[in-house]
Amino acid sequence: MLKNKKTILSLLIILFIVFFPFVRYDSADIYYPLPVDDLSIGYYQSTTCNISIFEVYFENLSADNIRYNAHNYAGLECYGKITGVDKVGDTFIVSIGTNPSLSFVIQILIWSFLLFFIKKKDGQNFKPSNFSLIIIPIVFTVQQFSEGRFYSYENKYFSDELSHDNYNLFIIFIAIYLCSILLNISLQARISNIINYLPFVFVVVGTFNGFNLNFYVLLLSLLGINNLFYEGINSRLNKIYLIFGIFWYFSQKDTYTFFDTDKIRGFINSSNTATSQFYWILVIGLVLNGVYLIYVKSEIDIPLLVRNCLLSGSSMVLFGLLGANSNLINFLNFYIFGQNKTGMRTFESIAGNTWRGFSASAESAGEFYGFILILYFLCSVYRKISFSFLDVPMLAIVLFGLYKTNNFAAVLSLLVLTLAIVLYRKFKTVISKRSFLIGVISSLVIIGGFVLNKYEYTYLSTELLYEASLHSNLYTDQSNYQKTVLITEFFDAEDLKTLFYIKNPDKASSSLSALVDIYTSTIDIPILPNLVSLISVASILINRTEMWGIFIAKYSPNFNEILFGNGPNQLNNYLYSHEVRLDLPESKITSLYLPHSSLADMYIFTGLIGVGLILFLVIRLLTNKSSNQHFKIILIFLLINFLKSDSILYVNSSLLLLLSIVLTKGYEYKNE
Amino acid sequence: MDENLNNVTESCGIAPDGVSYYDPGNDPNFVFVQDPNFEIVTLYDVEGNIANMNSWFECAHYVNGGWSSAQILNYQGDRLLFISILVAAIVTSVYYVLDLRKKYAEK
Repeated sequence: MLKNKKTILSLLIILFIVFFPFVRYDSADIYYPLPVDDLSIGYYQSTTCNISIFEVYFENLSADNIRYNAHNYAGLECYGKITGVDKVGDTFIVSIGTNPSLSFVIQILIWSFLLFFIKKKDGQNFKPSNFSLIIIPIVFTVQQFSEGRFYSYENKYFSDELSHDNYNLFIIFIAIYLCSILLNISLQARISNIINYLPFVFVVVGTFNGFNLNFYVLLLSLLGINNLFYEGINSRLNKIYLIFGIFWYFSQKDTYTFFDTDKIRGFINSSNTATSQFYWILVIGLVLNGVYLIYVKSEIDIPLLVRNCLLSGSSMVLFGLLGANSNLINFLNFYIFGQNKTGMRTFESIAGNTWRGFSASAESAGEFYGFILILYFLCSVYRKISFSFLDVPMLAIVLFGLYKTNNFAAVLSLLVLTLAIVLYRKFKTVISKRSFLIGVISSLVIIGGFVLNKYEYTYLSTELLYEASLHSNLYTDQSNYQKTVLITEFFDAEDLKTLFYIKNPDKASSSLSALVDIYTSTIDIPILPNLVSLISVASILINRTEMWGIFIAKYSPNFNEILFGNGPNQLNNYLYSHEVRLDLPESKITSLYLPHSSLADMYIFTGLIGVGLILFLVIRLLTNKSSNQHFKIILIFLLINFLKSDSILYVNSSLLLLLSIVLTKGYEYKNE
Repeated sequence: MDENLNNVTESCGIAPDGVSYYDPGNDPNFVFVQDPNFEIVTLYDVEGNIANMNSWFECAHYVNGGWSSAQILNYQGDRLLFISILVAAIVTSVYYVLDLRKKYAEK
């Protein structure tokens, strides 16, 4: 009873922190809300910082042409209040003051307090180091300097001057210090249980408003410090990371570029300056240590995990629907849950394609819904959970979410893996696992061959190179149309060497040149297909030819970068170091084109050696006999999907991968 | 005068072609016409009040009246927030230390 009272009280405190700034109302106030229309624009422009968002919302309940936007340039006195109204087309844009300093304090407090809702595990199996209370605030305050360009762009009050009246910096430092204490208190008896609540990272996304920082990066870094403090820096992970770190730091570019971080804000380096590079090398090193600590300490509780998956998945869909229905909720979703990007404002799919709803990425959301469904299916089949009627509506909502994301790969891999589980269970007494696996893979190859039967071999094997050539800066004096015609002629004549080395020397990226060399190589090993042809066929099968073509055209690494990559979460060199001429409609040319494969992302970050190490670990995990055989399927599901999406660039999807690894590796010997 | 011009350019950008600033005086019927090509600029006065400018001319007029696109960093609210969070951090630190001591004593 007392515990319930405490929970209710904590919830009330959090709700008060969340909503108080937006509902402030002064009875002596002479400024009152008006219906938002052409006539009242002037009124709102001249009464800025006096009327709260809720006052305006309730005055305009029936209006559907009002959009609420966060206005980070407003001062503290304007927090939660209207800072202006503008009309764009038929829509009125109501700007709400969301001063970054106060937003940061409020968000960090809400999310830190939420951790106290995680159920304590018996005993205190984690003794946090007080050292982290000093290091963490220093590290994350330093980010303000290392990514100064990002912060001066996002925060009007940003100043890198070290003076006693630079309150913005002091506020950030103390807020992180306060957060570190709260995390140390809450994690002492909860660290082993965090893993079971991990699905909620898809609801509480945790990206700070106006910051290139995510709450979970902060939390994992704090755990990372603790891991380093108790386990020492001498682990194999840290030694390898140190070698990579040295290469990353010293392979600097001469020109500095800036990436506005877009929808991957909070988990990406916005700059390639030395200080920024150093900051991210340090932070990702700490995060890896934090991830390791969670991995070691985690104790999976399957019924709790499944329940939390269903709750978070269905909440994500519902919040997405509510946000699409109400502009106020859309704004509050962004602010309270720390979305990277505001949710969708309509129920319509983009270009008849995907509906990402609450999430910044439809692919990542689809993978999460698929994860929930396959986990539920596995746990039901292997009787790890008992059925509850309450599960049905939540499963239906998650299924609806998956349908709306239109993530074909997730749906297909879900169906194939589910069918494989059913068949294996039925025939496992008469067929060995190896034979079954060979049968499944052969069936998939045959189906793939059947789908691609209508195309000729040359087309299949060169389509990826062709697409990459179209997006390259070839024939600089010709129009895009002429460029396409000339490239097509050379591809038809199968004369790629002339196209790239005689007609357009030094114009193709080093990736494209290398792939052309591999494709045209005279070394021919019988039976083994050409590597480039294989990737090209795969890209056609999973509809990634254009995106991977753009990636190949854009990415031009030097020798060091081929081996070690550009550094953790560093996309600047990929995005800006090589000139391309995208063969796309004018309106799409300035869009952000990510590689559309987490493996390609890892290649950019860690190079061939890093990718090799990752593949080695994955194969070892999948072939290890001590791994949980049932939950391997979930890891396979995620890995297949990550191959064709950029999900590794999102904190929540990366944590989902961690969860599937813990399920695969840790569950069996800890709980059974 | 030069300084004023610099301030206007700094806050409002360069004057669009064919537009120059003149003092509209105290004409009560004077209306600032919105310029659809002008990217809205937010200006602040010394008390922290905010006004959104819809044209270069309106912006120049406000800047000449003492408004600026740069808000003073030492605004009282920042200091208040800083003090509040500092107090909260001190109280939490004390609780944290006492709690740790209690736990060690129990062990």
